[in-house]
Amino acid sequence: MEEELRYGKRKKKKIKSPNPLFEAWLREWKEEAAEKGIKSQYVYAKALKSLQRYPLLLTSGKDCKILENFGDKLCKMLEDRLQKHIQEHGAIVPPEPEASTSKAPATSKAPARQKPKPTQNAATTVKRAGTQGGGHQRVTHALSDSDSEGSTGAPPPPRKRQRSGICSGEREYIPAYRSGPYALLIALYRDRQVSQLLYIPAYRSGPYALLIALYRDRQSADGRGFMSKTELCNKAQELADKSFTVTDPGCRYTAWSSMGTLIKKGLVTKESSPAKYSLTEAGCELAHRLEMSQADDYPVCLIPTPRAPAGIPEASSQDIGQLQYKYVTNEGEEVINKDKAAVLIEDDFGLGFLIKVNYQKLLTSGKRYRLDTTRPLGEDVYVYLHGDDTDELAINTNMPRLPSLDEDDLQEAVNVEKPRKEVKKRTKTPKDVMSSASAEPQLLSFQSSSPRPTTKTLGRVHSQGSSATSENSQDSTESAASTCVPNFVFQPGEFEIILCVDNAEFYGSRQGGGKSLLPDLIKNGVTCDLRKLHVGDLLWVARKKTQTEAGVGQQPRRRELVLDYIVERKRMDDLVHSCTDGRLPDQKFRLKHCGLKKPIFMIEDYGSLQHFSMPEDRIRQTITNLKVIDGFQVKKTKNVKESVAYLTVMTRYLQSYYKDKRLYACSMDDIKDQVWINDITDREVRLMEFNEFNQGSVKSRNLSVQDMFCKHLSKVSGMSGERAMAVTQVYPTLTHLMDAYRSCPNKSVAESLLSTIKVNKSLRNLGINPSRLIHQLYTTPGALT
Amino acid sequence: QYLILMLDTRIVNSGGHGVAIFKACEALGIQYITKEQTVPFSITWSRQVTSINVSRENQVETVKSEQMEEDVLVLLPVADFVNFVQNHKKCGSELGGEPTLTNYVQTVKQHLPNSILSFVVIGMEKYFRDQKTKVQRKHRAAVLSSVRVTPCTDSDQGSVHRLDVEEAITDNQLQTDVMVYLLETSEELSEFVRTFSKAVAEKPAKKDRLQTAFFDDGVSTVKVDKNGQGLLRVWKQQLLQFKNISPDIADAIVQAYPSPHLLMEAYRKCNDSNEQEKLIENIVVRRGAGVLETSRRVGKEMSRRICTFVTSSNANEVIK
Repeated sequence: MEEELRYGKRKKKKIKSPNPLFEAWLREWKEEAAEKGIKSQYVYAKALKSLQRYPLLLTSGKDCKILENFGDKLCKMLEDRLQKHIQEHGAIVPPEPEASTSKAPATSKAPARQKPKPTQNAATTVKRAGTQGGGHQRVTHALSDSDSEGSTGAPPPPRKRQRSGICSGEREYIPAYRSGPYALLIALYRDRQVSQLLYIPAYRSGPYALLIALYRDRQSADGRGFMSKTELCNKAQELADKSFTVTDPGCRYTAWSSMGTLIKKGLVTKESSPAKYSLTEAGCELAHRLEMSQADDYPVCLIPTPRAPAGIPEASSQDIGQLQYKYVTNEGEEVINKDKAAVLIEDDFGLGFLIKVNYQKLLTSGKRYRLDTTRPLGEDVYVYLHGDDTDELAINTNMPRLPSLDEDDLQEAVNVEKPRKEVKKRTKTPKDVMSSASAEPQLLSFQSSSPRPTTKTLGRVHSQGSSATSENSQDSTESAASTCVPNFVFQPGEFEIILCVDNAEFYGSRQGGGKSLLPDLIKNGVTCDLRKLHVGDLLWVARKKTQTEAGVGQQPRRRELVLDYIVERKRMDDLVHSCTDGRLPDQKFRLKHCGLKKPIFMIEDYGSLQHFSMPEDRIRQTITNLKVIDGFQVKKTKNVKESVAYLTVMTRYLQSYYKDKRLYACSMDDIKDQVWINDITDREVRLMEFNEFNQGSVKSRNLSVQDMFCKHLSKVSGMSGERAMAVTQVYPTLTHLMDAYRSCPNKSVAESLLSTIKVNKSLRNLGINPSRLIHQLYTTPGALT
Repeated sequence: QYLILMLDTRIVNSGGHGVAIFKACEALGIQYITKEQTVPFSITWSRQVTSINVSRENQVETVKSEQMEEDVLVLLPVADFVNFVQNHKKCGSELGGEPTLTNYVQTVKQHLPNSILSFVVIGMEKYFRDQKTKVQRKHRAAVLSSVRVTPCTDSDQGSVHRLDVEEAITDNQLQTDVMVYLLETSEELSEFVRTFSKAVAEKPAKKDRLQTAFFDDGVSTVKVDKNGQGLLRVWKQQLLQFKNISPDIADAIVQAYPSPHLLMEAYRKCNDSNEQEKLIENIVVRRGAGVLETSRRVGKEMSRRICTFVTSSNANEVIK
């Protein structure tokens, strides 16, 4: 009685699959088929899967028919096998513990009852065998090695069998038969092993955070021993990477969903209503272990530590990074090979090699050296470089070779060839170029022999090498004055960089649900300012710092300059929407012509690409076109978090780059006309005022009569913006056109009046059709249809 | 199409992305050749241009020449990228040290002056995933052994965080204006190359589209058939171009003056400019339907605007 009771209990807990025999057979067949490479393996696999999902017992092969992926053939096979099994084992030992109780009611009741115990024991036997003498391994091996029936089935030494005491009278239970009960036992055993594996939530996952939060609450003095859901969410949030409240797109679960698992595993209990959550003993233990193993936590994730980007920016961008020098022989000859260099050996210094190097750079490199005072000193000095700091060859190849390439034997030839090319180039360049280490493209430097500014005050990277401005750039202030008179100047340190967020970006988001960036940006410590932007969604301004905070009253509006970067944030659904309703070209146009030189499209993924009203590849093409054809910078982000991270990092870097700059305020027209682009390394930058910028980019700006006429014309079918422009070049207003029509001698001349207008680039004629149509539109005396 | 895509041999040999790219090219119908390039792992495009020269003997000869496109795509193996990011992270303030992403980009720029670079890194997510499983394993082991293990934060220099990557990319963007794109699979790469090639191919034709795009505000042209059916809609669309004009107002005006000609005639019949300005001021605009119907007038502002447009012969007069 007692035994039976226990059995019942056990069964409940342990039996995951109600039909282990069938499963084992199917698995066996599947493996056989897989070995032979027959397609039927998939049939078995499918059947197996659906069988595993079926929670109830199946008593015969035929019963399996009700399941998916079971055909007549398979059912028959199972039935036959079952019969065979019963014949073989059923007589001696009840076929299979669980299987027989349920599956084969045909067998006598008595064996069925007795069965549980033996199986259990059998399993332990096998297990014990395993733990004791590596037998387990052998057994498992045998299990997978399905063909060699006889040898694998070799019964373990009787001693063990006896000890385990399973075989109550029977000849032997240890599976002489390779797959049947044997495989089953192993399967069960493994299953149990798995369930015995400790549940440990992944680091910074939902359950992890929940457990730790509960644990800490419990440990703390003022803890009540339970927590409410909101409390728990708030506490746990900082311990998890996933949100407890907002779902990821395309997924219905939050980190909170894992609470169900915790409760099910008996780690947390949920009581009363409103729910109070508390840790169980087991949960407490687990949480303790989690806490201990991870005592020092990561810095809370997303607050980027402002990492000073490369101290002196222009140096970092120019410098390849490595110290460049040449070895010098005793005769004063410069060589690149260390072996030929003059050597110095001193007790307190050690071995040194003579090199010639730029002194400044040597100092910054931090290498050990000893000055050679016997040789002339100048900007370049002769020093003995400590042996440990030297390289075999004093070449720093220009092209940093990719390490992965070096591993690639195939590419050996290329690699050998490449440095050689570089050497040649290097010898060509004059030495002082090397020492001044300008960022100038070396290839270019001997193509265009124009003098380049050595001091990088206003030296810009000229895209087309327009020499007009470059000549001036030697003297920075003068050149600035000559091209445009700055309205005012911000000295370094007088201003701060602030991220401006468009109103609509923030307020428009309410219904969008968690779309807005602002809260997260503020959380990241970015100085933000909300204001109405007429173009773009985000941009950066340099604002003059207020000298005295005391000036409480109406401060004169602080002066602000707009940096060159402007971001148009487009979530994928916005993008698609503005593509379909045609706002995109307009937005692109306005962004392109707003006067800021570095427009950036920030494209934010939003769920799958497949569910939009545009085909996937067209969306992709649109994005690529933004980059390639329209020349925008495109930044892709995966979610709001990444967007925020990008903006945060961007702000930080801009702040540190602009820290030392002097800013000149210029008018918008000057800026728009300027050919060059402000380089990040420039010390002095010309920017426009924010107010001017924002007013200049008002969306519904008043148009001139000509522009309006152009817009009107572009509505006629067969016309385009380009064509309409061509027409308005000749007839700038409607009045002009009407006058022209009136002066035409007859109708046919008037009709073809516009047909010979040349359209822009292609110089093609406008054609008769649009011409006739426009004529008809404007001269039909009666009502149009 | 006259485009040839040139693939660095190394992409095919060691990158393993060759096949995917070939397929993309075939789908697009452009030629491709693999060829050793100066910059490892780069993809460039060249266009066949036929120019017509008239030689001295007045003979017309067509010259076919290949012209390099300015867009260049450079792949960057993950390992190297991670390396660069690490250097960037370590570098911080001091100058010396190994090359960073920016250095690399700049050297590539030197080798390919006058080109627009884009960098692609494939498999960064996978790298992060691997890192994460590593951390998780350690975590698990730590919990199981319940020995206090050295906290598995990134004391091991080997790993790079998303934030580091983000910083490196952003810094690079600021310094060099070159964007690094992170892709995952070969398929994504081939898709990217496909769209990129297409965009490069169409570039000359579309390059100037933003110069005039200003005049397209989305609503495309109105279809008109031979007999002029549809011109009325064109007229209405034209009226809608004015600022602050709703379809209702446009409808009302179109009803009163069903063609531009009629409107112009009406303006001509006016005695003075004052009268002209007020001509359409009082046209009644109906809004809504049934009980909810309300009516109002076109209004002074609108009347003046339209008047200016129709009657002015000064191209630069601003319609206020």
